[in-house]
Amino acid sequence: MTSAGDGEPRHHILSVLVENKAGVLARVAGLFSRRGFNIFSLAVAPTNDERFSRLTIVVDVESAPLEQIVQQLDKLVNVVSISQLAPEAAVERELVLATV
Amino acid sequence: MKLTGAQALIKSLETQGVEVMFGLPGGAILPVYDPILDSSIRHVLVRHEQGAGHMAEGYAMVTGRAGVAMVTSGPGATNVVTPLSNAYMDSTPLVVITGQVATSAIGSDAFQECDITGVTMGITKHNWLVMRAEDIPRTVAAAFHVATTGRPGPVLVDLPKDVSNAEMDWYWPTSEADLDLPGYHPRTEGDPAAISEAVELMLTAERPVLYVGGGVLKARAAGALLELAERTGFPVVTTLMARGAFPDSHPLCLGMPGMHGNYTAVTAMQRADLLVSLGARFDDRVTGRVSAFAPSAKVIHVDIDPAEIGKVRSPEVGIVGDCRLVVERLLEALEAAGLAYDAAAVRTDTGAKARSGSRAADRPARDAWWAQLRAWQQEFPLHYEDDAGGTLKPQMVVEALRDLSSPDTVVVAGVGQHQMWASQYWRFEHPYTWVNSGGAGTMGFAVPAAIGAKVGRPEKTVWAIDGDGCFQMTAQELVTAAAERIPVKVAILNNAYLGMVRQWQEMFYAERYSEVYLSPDLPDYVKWAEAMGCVGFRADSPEEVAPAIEKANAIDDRPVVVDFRTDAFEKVFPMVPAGGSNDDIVVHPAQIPSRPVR
Repeated sequence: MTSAGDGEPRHHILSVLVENKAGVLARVAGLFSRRGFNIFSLAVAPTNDERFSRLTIVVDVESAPLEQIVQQLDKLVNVVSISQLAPEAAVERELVLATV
Repeated sequence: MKLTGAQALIKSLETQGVEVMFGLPGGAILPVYDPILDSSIRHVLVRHEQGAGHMAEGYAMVTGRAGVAMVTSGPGATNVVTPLSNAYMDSTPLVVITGQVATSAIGSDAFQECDITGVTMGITKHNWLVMRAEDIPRTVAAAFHVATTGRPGPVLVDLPKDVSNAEMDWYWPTSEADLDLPGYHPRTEGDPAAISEAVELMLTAERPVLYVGGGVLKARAAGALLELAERTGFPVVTTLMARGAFPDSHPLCLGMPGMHGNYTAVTAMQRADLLVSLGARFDDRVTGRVSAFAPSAKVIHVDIDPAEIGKVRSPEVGIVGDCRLVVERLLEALEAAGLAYDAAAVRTDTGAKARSGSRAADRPARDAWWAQLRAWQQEFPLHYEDDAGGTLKPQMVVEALRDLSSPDTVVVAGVGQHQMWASQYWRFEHPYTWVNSGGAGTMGFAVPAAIGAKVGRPEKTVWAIDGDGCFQMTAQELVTAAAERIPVKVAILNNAYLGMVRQWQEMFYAERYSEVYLSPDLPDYVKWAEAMGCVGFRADSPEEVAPAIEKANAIDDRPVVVDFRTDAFEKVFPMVPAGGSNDDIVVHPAQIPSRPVR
């Protein structure tokens, strides 16, 4: 959870279950771009059910209120469910691979 | 039963209950046009694909059913982009079928290839590229389901040519579960706790306004709204998309709010202590500068789209649900709370039918509110100056059309000054009698939308009130109307200008008129109408208006175009300047005593 400095978290992590169909990533990315929502990072992964994939999106709530981002995402027909990963209940890891 | 994909598509549309579609064939959609010859569905052959899209919109707006358009790939598909965008902004249910190049050619820049699902992703509720013939029935059923449920909207089904030609075993999905829409579950029932909170606010409000948007029409909620208004005695404003949802002649009706709304509707919202928003979205044309909009109002926001609640204005109470169902729950809860008709207040001058109210007498403040509203109505009614010099005022033409036509006439407008005058000066008494392009502001909407409306409601008179600029954008569809015997009527308010742009240049660009003059005579609208198989005539002066309208109303076997030569200098008032506060509403100059009348 990245802070803007005043204690209010600026980045939120959304875990978005989507249908595993062609073009779904473009729909999500297109929504963010046309509504002016900022993505801090995004990862796509398969789930144990091959009908679905999971997007893990770190959103920047300086660009729009989190509620509005979630509601607009939820309107995409291919989006099945959205949950926000609460910082106290989620483990966040980053991995850097570097060559020197 | 073995069918080709093309046959399955047509059979799916028939099974879905489609009675008419609007379209134009081409290479990639060719296989689908063959089974149309054997189908019960009427196909209206348009002259430009944009016309097909707007006709489908007009049809949908008057019938409440999904409008269907079919076009080919590439340019055929891109020509329906404007109607799709228009339908998306105004939440109109539309199913557009586009041909696509063969699956093996997709991505190869083939002849007439265009990634139309990519292009329309942001302006459709959803779209599908169908890759297998066996997916066709399911996709068509899903397309209609998505287009017509929840917040309605346009959808697009892209059909590659080899998929149309492939064989499949016919089936029809029998349940919602068969539609393969795991992420689509619109909410229709309002949350009971939120409804209780809303009722509390409604019981204590002193200066309430029912802010009614197009969602009330989409939800078929006009009857429920009438009951809610009469039960509460709350004044009603109907937005541009909701004209007709509440009768203009009703004593509780204040008319249209917004940039060109009437003074009372705009100012009532500004001074309100409670806005009950039903199927409206706080559009910038209604709110003016948002930070200055209805500053002392608490807001109850009812909308079927959860994303609308709080998008522009944070409500005190948000209720996600279908407007009709929520209003019915509100009525039950108000009844239980003992609220009855606020007769004493509303009776102040117009004598609405009164019911005695147990709690009406506790609210002297509401009397004061109605007294204020009536005072505004008296002081600042809609106004234009009749010109002794004999020029034809566009407002007068709309009034004459209104007075000489039946109240269930369907009125269709394009975009600009004529649209605002039509909305202001027509008296809307019935739902689904007003068809216009609201959110997108699509010039050229009126002629094709009127044709679609007439196809949907052939028993009604359909008048398009159009501008000369708009008319020139899509007039060729009158050829379609003449060929298909669809007798629409078009009143061109011909002021020889792109009038709304001219108005802004006059008011905000120091009268520097840039690229807005069109000429009253080029084209010759009468000859043009005749060349398209319509009856055409002209009215130049006020005396010619009524005879022209009566002549037009008497013709019912082919389209009519009347060229009304109106005053080019007339402006739309009132007006809230763009970006300004609704408090800064500019009324007609003649209504400002301290300023000279122009």
